[in-house]
Amino acid sequence: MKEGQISNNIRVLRFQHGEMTQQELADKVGVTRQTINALEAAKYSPSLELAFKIADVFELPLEEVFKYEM
Amino acid sequence: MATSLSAIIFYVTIVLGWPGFLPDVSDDLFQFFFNIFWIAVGIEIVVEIIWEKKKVQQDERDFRIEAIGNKFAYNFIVAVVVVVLVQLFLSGIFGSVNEIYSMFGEKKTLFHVLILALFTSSLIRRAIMIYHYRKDFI
Repeated sequence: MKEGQISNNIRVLRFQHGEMTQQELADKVGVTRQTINALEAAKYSPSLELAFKIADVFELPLEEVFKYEM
Repeated sequence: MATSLSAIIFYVTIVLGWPGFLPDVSDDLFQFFFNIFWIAVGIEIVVEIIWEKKKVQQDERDFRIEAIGNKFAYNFIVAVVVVVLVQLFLSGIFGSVNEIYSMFGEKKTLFHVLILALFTSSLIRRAIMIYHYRKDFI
């Protein structure tokens, strides 16, 4: 089975929310800045808990932040 | 990683001795790796102190990378233990006819192999973790 990839709009959403820095977002969701960096570069797929926390920070439904591409 | 590497080199040199065909620089080398060992220990302590001050010390990505490192180290240890057990079995059969095989069956040799396997597994764990941390930024 072909493996899909999870993409996200975190970078765009950060800038739309008052140019929030990676560190600020990291502090809000309780991870390190490096993890946010890896997420934005689509080199790390977050856990469901982290994905919901990030969506919650931007006050958006999960599917508007993360997309699963086949 | 540097501490594990230094410990391995220390241990191998102490156990096997300095090879006779090489110029004897064992004292210099010993001093060199002794210094590396203490510098590495110092750096690890400083890094730990810095990490303590951070809000988030480790998150899910760190745990995942650590788990990958642990998996590789565990697989290596298991492989070594299996080899040692097979070797014990074979040395029981062929030990009486072959001198090398009887040496592999000795408790002393197996002890050294297991100690080295422990150090090496620690090295593998660190190397795998560094690889996965670096991979994110390539």
